Amino acid sequence: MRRLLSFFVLGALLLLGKRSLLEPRAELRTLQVDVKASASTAELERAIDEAILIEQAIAAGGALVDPLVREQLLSSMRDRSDCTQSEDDAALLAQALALGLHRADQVTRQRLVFQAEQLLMAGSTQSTESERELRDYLTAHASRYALEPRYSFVQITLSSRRGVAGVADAERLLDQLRREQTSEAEAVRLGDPTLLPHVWSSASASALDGRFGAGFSRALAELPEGSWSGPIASAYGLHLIQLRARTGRALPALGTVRARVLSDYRHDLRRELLRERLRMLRRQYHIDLRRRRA
Amino acid sequence: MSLSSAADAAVRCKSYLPERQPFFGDLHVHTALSLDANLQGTRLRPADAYRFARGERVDLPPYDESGKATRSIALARPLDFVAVSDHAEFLGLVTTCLTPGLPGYDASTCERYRAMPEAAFFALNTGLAAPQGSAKYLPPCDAENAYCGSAAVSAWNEIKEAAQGAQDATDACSFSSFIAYEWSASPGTKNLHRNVIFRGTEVPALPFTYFDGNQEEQLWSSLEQSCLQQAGCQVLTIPHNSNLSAGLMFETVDRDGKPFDRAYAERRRRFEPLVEIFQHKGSSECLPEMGADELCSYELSPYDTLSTTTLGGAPDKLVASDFVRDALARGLQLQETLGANPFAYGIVASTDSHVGTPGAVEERTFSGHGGAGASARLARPGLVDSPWFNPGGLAGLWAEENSRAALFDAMRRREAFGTSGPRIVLRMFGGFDLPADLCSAPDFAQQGYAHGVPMGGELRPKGGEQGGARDAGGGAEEEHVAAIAPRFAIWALRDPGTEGAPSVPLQRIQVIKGWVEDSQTRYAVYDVAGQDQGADVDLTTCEPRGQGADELCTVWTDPKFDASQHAFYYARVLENPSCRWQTRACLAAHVNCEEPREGFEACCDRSLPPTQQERAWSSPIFYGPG
Repeated sequence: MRRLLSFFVLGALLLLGKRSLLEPRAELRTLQVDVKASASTAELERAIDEAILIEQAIAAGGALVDPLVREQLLSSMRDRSDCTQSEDDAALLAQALALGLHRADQVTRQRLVFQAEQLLMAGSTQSTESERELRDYLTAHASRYALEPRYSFVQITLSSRRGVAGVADAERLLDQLRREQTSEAEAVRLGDPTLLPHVWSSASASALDGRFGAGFSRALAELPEGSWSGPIASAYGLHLIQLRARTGRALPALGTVRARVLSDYRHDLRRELLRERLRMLRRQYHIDLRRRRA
Repeated sequence: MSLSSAADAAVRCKSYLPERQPFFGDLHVHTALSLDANLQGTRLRPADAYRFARGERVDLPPYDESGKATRSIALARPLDFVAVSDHAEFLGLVTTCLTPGLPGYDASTCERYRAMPEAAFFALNTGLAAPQGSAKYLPPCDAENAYCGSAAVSAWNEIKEAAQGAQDATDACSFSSFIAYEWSASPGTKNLHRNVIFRGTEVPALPFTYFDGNQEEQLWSSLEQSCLQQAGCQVLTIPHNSNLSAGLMFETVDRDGKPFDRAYAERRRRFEPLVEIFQHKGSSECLPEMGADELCSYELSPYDTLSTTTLGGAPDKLVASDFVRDALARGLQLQETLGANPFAYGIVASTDSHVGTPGAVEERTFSGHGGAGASARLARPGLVDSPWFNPGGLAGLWAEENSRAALFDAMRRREAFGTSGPRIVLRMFGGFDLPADLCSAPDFAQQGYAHGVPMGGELRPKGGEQGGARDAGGGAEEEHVAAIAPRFAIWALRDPGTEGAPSVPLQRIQVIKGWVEDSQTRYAVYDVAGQDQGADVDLTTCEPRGQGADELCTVWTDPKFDASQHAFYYARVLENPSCRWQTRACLAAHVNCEEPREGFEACCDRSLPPTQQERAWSSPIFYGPG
């Protein structure tokens, strides 16, 4: 909370002069919010937030600044039968806002919401996170940063060119490898030439699936370590595998992922700042909720 | 300007492979920081683009009534590397005029811009199309407002921080990001764009824009001063969309109209080891008349400038000099006359995504481009993009490990290839002493490096062979050529596919040769492995039919090799036919051409090819007589 307050101060400093979005008002403003009758609580909350953000964006001049919003509103006005062609753009724009057209058009709404969100999140990047906070964040989001399983192995390829005979060939070769003491160099020569490396060192599951095809790493995970086993299939044929080592999913040390954690931490902080500022803005409004039937 | 150098520290990757391995990525990506993407509804920022590249699902416009995105997308396979390359020219402008409190916001010029935003948008794009020599910053980001420097710095900091945040600095080396931007020169809407890619975290304080310097030479001068002469900074520039340059990209005079000299050629070659041969706005490989090569019509856009892609007015005839194959050949001519080749390009491909989705090349899930072509911001019926455009391609790099240093070095030495989307693995070596049976060897790569050069490399004559006119005919000549000619070993693996998207088998490998003979550029296309076995596509289901190969390998010798002639050789690998994206979209929408539907007119346009042959291109191996 203390950090949010400091962000608030910094953010407020950025929202200068005549258009401070968070200036307390003497009187509550009434804001009409239309939702469908069946709207869930989450949809209702979202609709209220959007309505507030749109009002804030309009107050900050968003309809004038954003060429997309301006184009949409002017186009809507000119299509109206009561539009006088001689009216200039400024007048038409004012009429469009007075008619509430900015709330009706989906593209316009989203542009204004985005503008207001950016303004409310401004100033949130000047922060000094502690190592403790970042470590806690890393731990709390472990699934995002956990390292993939990794495998070190030797593989012998039996090319798909062998056709249906490949399975029997693989079984014969596997039997031979298990019976004989074959060096790695000799073993790889027993298979077919391949562009795929024979020796893989600490390759991630996703990298292996990317090279061999979907499901390869899943099959690899089932194999025992030390001995020759298989065959497992790939997009290129069959493979006999000598699995040498594997590592499971592990959380890296903060130092190795610090930049990524910091980026994500600040991203979440900005979103929290936005939520906090929206809560503050809500106190300035009386919400007139209208549920419409489909 | 120096960021944390953690990502530059020499950490050996666990999966380091001295004989090198292929990595796939995208070096051309735009986010909400690019003005054109921003105005098309793109909201994804650089950090979001990197998250997508690493496998996370992201939302895409348009949005429904409740404000939720109507679309989302995720890669089936994460990429290995990405460079977010937002347009440099307007990084500060939008931020300045939309953010109260920033220097320039209250300036009279910015207030006038807020009063006339349509004029501002038009003026901005017109600014990029200003002739070289007169393009300059437009208000409110002119000298009066210090060129919106503080806002531009803010945007540039975001780009750098996002790249740093995405970089895997551990020895897992799962992902590499490059700090980058796009220099967006478009005089008369003739495309001269270049992506500027930095090797590490030492980068200039600000990107150099078209408004800072209108000529490529000025871009290079700026990079020499702000990067190459600074400790730890390395950079290269990658031109793209030469197909839309209306003859400008590969002119053989500099921007002052002076013919190239050796110094210019060497300088250009230092900065530009690669060219982006394929992307969303079409292929820049070749025209069919270059070697009687009908396969050059693949994704051949009918347009010749950026404006014609949106306003129409395609020319009657495309300019041959806009295409990479022609540039490669003319580069050989310049090698002969100047002693240096300014167009000795290696090959990559990219998406040029403007919705912040690097590597989203799958035809099945193509979600539109967000910049050129159809807008992505509006909910509207029909195809997601202009049917003349495509989802884009990928860059492939052969490197020891997935680190910035190793990948950048691969770009520098041109050990690179491009694909039209699929993750076809393509490897090529050339050498006089390559074994003829190299495809049967268990150590293909090791022998390739030991006895030859990889793709992107340069060959010199073996021994004292001089070549030249051959009087002996028939078998004697063939034997002579075979004895003196280098061999080219080429191996290709089909894309292994994913669970939701099985890949298409390979059809064949070709070698494209270009050379100079009697001062004329010449081309030949050879089928060197595999063959067309008649595979096709069921257009009612898009199911591929017919036989193909999971992998192809060959060792090939040029039957017309002449040791006295400069030449280049690059490999092109073709898949069997598959449905093009618009065919899939039309099928999914159950379009009936007897009952036309709005937005799906292209489904019934017989001039559009319903199928395609996805492909990969290697970087050339260059031969010179010494």
